Amino acid sequence: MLLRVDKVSISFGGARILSDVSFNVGASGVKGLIGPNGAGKTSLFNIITGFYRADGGNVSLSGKDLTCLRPHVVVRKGVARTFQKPSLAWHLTVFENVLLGSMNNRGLGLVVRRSRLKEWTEKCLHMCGVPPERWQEPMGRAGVLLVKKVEFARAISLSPMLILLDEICSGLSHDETDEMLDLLREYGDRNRCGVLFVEHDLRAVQKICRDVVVLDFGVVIYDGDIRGAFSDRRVVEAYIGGADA
Amino acid sequence: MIYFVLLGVMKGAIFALAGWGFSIILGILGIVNFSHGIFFILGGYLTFTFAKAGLNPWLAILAASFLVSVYALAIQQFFINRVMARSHMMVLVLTLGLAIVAREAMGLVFGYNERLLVMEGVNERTVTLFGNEFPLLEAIAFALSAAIFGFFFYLFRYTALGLRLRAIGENTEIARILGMNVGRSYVLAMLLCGFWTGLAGGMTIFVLPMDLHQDVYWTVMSFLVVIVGGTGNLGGTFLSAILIGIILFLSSIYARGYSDSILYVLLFLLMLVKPTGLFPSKMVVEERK
Amino acid sequence: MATWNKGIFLNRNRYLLVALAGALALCLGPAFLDSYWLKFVSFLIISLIIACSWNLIGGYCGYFSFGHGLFFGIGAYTIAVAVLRFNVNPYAGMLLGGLVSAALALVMSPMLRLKGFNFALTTLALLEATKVIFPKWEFTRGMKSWDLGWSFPPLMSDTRYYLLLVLVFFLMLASHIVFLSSRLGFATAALKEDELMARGIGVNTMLTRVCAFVLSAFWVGVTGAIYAPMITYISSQAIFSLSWSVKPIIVSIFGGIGTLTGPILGGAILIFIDQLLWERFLEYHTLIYGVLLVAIVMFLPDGLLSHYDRVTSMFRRYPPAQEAKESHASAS
Repeated sequence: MLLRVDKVSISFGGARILSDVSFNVGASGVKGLIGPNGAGKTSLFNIITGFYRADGGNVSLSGKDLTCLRPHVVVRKGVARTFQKPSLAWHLTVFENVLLGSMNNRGLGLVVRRSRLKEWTEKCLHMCGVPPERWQEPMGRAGVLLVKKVEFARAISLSPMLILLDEICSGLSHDETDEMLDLLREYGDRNRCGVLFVEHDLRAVQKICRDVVVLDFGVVIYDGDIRGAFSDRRVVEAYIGGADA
Repeated sequence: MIYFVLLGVMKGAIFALAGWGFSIILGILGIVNFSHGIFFILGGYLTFTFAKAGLNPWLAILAASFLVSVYALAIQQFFINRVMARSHMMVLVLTLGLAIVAREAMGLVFGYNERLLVMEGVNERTVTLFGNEFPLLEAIAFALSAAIFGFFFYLFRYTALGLRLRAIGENTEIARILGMNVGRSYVLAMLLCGFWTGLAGGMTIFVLPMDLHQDVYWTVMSFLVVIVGGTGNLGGTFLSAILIGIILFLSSIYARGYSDSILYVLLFLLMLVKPTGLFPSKMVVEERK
Repeated sequence: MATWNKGIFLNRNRYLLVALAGALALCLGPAFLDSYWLKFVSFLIISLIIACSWNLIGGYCGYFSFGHGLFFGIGAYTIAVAVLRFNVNPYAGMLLGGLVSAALALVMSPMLRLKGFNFALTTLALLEATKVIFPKWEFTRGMKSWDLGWSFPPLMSDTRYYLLLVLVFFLMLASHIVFLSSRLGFATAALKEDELMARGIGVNTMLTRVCAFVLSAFWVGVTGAIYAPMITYISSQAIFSLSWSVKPIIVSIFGGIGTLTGPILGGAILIFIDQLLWERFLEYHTLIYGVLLVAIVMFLPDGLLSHYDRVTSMFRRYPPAQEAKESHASAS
């Protein structure tokens, strides 16, 4: 098991956001993390990446404990993520944004020649289907699909073992979503890494995930094969409404 | 001892008044106004001029405060507004430039000498509280500050206007979308700031000699008071001003000459321990470390 | 490829060459300038060094230090104490000035955890505190117990000081260029843009800030240590004066913060103007300076460099924040 989340809980103020959340993510393949709004998915990501400290439970990557580590150390251990609200450097170009990821890739060496960084960044951009003509575009002018691709490219430039994708398909059209998913699939085929995929678009989830864990109000209500998920009574209720009626 | 503490409290009242103006601008407009001290000094100088011309001292203070608020509005409309729209950082440079211009202009108009207003019968008068005699002016300043605090507290907490002002301070974009007249609120904020700060200056000129270059000191002090108290918290500003008044006063008695540096060292230590100030008004939930 | 020399991926060697060329050109100064103008350019270079150094922590990292003059004064006092009390070699004293300042910056680094305004105020507070403490502290008040400052014998010629300053200027620029084209330097771009994002992609933000801060203090300290013997007398009031802290800020914002050439251009222009005004209008020169400052901010609110698009395409550039954010909003 690549990622082991074990009985993680967190509260903010008086509100319990996550309660005893436990699940695993494999070293390859895409696992979906779904659930209605407010279920605590982003909070979970924040805990895994070290931005929040959980009140209870722990997180480990390949056996190594991630729980108390600071965000940049978590990245060093091999976790990369994208953000729900795209957080790129809007003042820099597409190329530079991915470069900001490459430069933190310790796998390239502690002291690395700039030309090597350049090469690596170019490779990541190619892998994400971003053509060289667009590399000098200021990020602030880029359209949604390019933004998402750059977020992804930046994540993979870290040569991560685990990628956390937070709604990478949001705002994309049908075709664009398919393009994004193809990219994901291709990357997953060529590189050994686990992916935890948060998405609201259930069609996308069904297309790419093998298993899925469903959260509702901070509690895991289903963890297993995707095919069983939507016939599970609790999942259906969570989405359609038993709990908040 | 209690006497000294209380006296310090009163002295702190002036800092509170000056600090509030700064806090209002910082909170609602979101800018650091480097010419804040100018409002203070201008209030003092104008009061001096009016009082020397024969006007009743209290009226002089009021008239001066009113004029200062007009000045504040003027620089906001003509200068700050335009620069604010582009870049908050440039406002720093702008207000610095405005302070330089104002300082020199005042020097040309009023002359470069120090001013201290000594009014027969006013300075020496004392009032008796708790069996001790306190200088009248300081006592009035304190009473006034407390009253103003009450006024602001009520305004910001319980009135629609106050709510509007706070909303604009928190998130201007959304406030605009919701239809609030941001421009008008800025005007109000600026007027209030100018008035109270000018008032503080007007009162101080009876007590302390003022000279033109002091505006930097008052700007820094206002800044200090607001930061120590916790930005966005008027009550915090009041309390921290009082605290600072006490510290300064006590240290000026027991550790002559070091009073300023003691304050700064304490501030430094405070910042290390509690960076959000003594009474932060918001909890930053963004990240737990 | 030719397209790679924009933005953060600095073409390091090209920059170094330009800096070297500039420094060599400045070295010709003594041949063409009379002693008055030589002194003027010396002071100009001093201001530029402080401005560029401030820009490293203020412009590139977004931490506005309002007490940067502290390091200047510390450098000056270090060489005073070292040379006058302990008979240290003046050149060693200059280096020491830088090292002490850097050490101080390192000690001060927990302050970097503070948010914008608080950081600014705390640095200011430290400056003011030092200004008051130094004249009272026996170790630093002066050679004799009644002194209020330090007096230097003439140590070297004006020309020598000038050349030393040019050397320091070049070394400072070179160190900045090397820093900015390293991983740490790239990290400052991420840091300034969005701190949380930067941490999320693996940037050790604290380390980056501390390095930038220490580097920004070092050269200022060295410069202070050169300044002190140059003017032969230093006193606490003058050397810790607020203007040494505030002028670099104005100059950098005016020239364009977050760029290498911004503070240099801004500084050169503003200081020249100040000098000219002082010559022509002694009485009113401060007033006119203030008016000019206001006018400049009103008409060029993004600083000078934003208007030199093509020239600065060679250098690192941050376009005005509004423009980029707006376009993104309209594009998506």
